[in-house]
Amino acid sequence: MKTSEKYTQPQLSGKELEKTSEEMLDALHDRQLRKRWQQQLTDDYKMPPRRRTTIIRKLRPWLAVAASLALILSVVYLWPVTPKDRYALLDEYLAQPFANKEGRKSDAILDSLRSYAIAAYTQGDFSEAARLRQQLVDRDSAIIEEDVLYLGLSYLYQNPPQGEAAIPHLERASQWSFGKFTAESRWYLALAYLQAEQIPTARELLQEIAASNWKSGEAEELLRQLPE
Amino acid sequence: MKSTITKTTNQADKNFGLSLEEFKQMVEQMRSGDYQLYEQVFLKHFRSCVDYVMFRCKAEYGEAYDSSMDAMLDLCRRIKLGRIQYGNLRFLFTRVACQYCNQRKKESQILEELDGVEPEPARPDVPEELLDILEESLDRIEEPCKSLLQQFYFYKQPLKELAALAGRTEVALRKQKQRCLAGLRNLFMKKYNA
Repeated sequence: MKTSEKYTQPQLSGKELEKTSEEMLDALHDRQLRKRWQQQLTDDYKMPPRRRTTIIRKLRPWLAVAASLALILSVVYLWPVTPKDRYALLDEYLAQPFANKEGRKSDAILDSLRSYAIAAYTQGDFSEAARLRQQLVDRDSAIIEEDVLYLGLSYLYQNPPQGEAAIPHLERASQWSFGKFTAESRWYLALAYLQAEQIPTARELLQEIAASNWKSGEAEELLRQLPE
Repeated sequence: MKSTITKTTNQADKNFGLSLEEFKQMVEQMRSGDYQLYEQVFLKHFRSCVDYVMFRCKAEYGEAYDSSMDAMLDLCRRIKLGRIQYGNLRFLFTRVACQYCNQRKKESQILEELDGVEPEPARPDVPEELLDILEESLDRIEEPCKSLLQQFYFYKQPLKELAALAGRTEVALRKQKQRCLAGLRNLFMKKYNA
């Protein structure tokens, strides 16, 4: 049993009283002296019981991490960023061509002309890709959704972009019955409208895209940069 | 002659500059409740003890400070009880501080015996609120009980000396001390149960 517990018992023998009293009084006197010496050490010798720097030293690695994060965040959020205009955004969104995955299809669908068009598109020869796709579309038989989509994209990715030429094909692709690429076609159609400076039409379509699930953020960003 | 002076200087250096006479005087003062010289000597060397413990025991400042404080309390008690003689106080201070530091780190549960110094039993850990009540009770207890208990328990003045000073027998004073302890505990328990 602890000294303090024993001292607070209802009954104590003479010996127990003497022993526990001595321990209790020793503890009390130690506390008095400790307090007094701590005060003297603090006042006269500038030695507090705890150094603040000890805590800081322990926290130093975490403080360094926090400071670095604060610096990064302040650079990110406080740096005077000039909003990109719609031309810069357009360049950004057209920088990476929409991937062509038609190569996975069977030979029955991929005739030689289409294969050449795909190869030209994949290699970045968009004017050749547009020419070959145009031939496929002009045949007006067995046209598939991808023909009109990639024809429009092949015009759009040319340097300089042929937005006006892309528009009718992307409009057709976006209205394709049970189309697999409707959302993609609408997005690139909006970019084609912008490239052709058809701002009201582009705004209308971008507002619809902004309300959808795909490319909504990009559409909102573009809408903010459109002239009133 | 030269060697005697050197020996005396070395001895004083080992004892924080205290000569044997000054040490005896310090013990007398401590037993009468005057800690001024003890404080003057040990507080002056407290920082070097803390530095030593930090270096030797690889302790943080707080640990080294607390351990040095424990050592200062420990040596104070031992000196009053006559368990430490004039010898090498500087060495004892740092060694005892290191032992307390190791004890805090749980590396060593037992205080090892120092050269010629018996190990002290572990100090009881008494809750602060109980010490507050005891302090209040001791303040309230009437004289001569208060002085008797302080002289005997705080300053470790032997009962024989106290009896001689009071012109009473040791047996009579022992009985009085017993009554004072019971009175103190009564005051304590009233406050404790309130």
